[in-house]
Amino acid sequence: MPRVPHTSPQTLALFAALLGDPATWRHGYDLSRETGLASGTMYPILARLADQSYLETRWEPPAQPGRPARHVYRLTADGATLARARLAAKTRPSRATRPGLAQWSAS
Amino acid sequence: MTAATGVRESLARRAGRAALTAAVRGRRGAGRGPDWGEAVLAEYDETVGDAAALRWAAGGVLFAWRERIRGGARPLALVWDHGWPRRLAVLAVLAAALLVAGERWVVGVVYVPSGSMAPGLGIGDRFLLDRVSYHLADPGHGDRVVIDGWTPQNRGHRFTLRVIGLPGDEMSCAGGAVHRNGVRLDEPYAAGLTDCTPVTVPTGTLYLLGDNRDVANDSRFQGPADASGVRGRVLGRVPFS
Repeated sequence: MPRVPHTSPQTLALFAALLGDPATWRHGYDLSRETGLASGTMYPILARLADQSYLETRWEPPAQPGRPARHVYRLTADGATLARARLAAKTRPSRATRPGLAQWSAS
Repeated sequence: MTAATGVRESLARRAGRAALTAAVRGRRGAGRGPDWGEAVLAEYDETVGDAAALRWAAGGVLFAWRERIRGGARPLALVWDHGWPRRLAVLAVLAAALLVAGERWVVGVVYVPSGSMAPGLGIGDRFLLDRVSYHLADPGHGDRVVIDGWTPQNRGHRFTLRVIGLPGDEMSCAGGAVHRNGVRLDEPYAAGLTDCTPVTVPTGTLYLLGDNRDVANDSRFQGPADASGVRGRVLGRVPFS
């Protein structure tokens, strides 16, 4: 039975953080602090979302000379839609989020 | 960051930075690594404290490896794609590491420095020590065990002795022989006459005697030994050792 993508608690935590202020470009470390996710957990999710065009990325020029440019992120329009849908699905009863049951009841 | 604040990085932070940089840019790699790796690296300066920095670096290293493998990198290429001399050297190092670990945790080779266990084990002999069995089963009568010193007098030394009494056994000596629960023991391995103070072996301890009764410093003098100090079971003498 295929798992519905982008429904893991970690991904949902990231969605919640990114939806907090969807227009703002966010730094990786801030997102990690806000979600409590370790770098090794969070970056694979960010990379996957970016690959699938749910996340925009860009390099932000350094604030001070000598500092490295930082990678920043925000949800695309598609990403924001997906994030809202996934977060809304989570708050519904758990039966509905179970992939097999959801498919049956939809058809 | 050092350049910006002038504060010197702690050793832990520098080690974390070095590991993360190597994982992202490759060991020899100068210049930039892939975007996502560089992204993790650029955030390293934001971490506060050694623990947070090391956590960030550890996660980043794992992530960078995954990204490189996804990008077609083969993690073992460095050791495997450069001909047989290098392959053999790597295999030799692995084999040596396995041997060392095996000696340490599975079967050890132990040198006999004293005559306490003569005539079976003489001074200068070596024997094989099974370090695994006693994780699975308790010592039994007649086993030869290696044990850490169990009294203030013998602590810090390591002894090879034979298990004569288990918890609950009543030990006594008469006519130069050991009696267990009133029964005279037949001890073909022992040398010399045994004299001892009667004792009931307490729970969690072992009554241990050296085979060479004239010289061994054992439970006759040090009392029953705490069984938690047992390090392994003697398998046998290494021939020609």
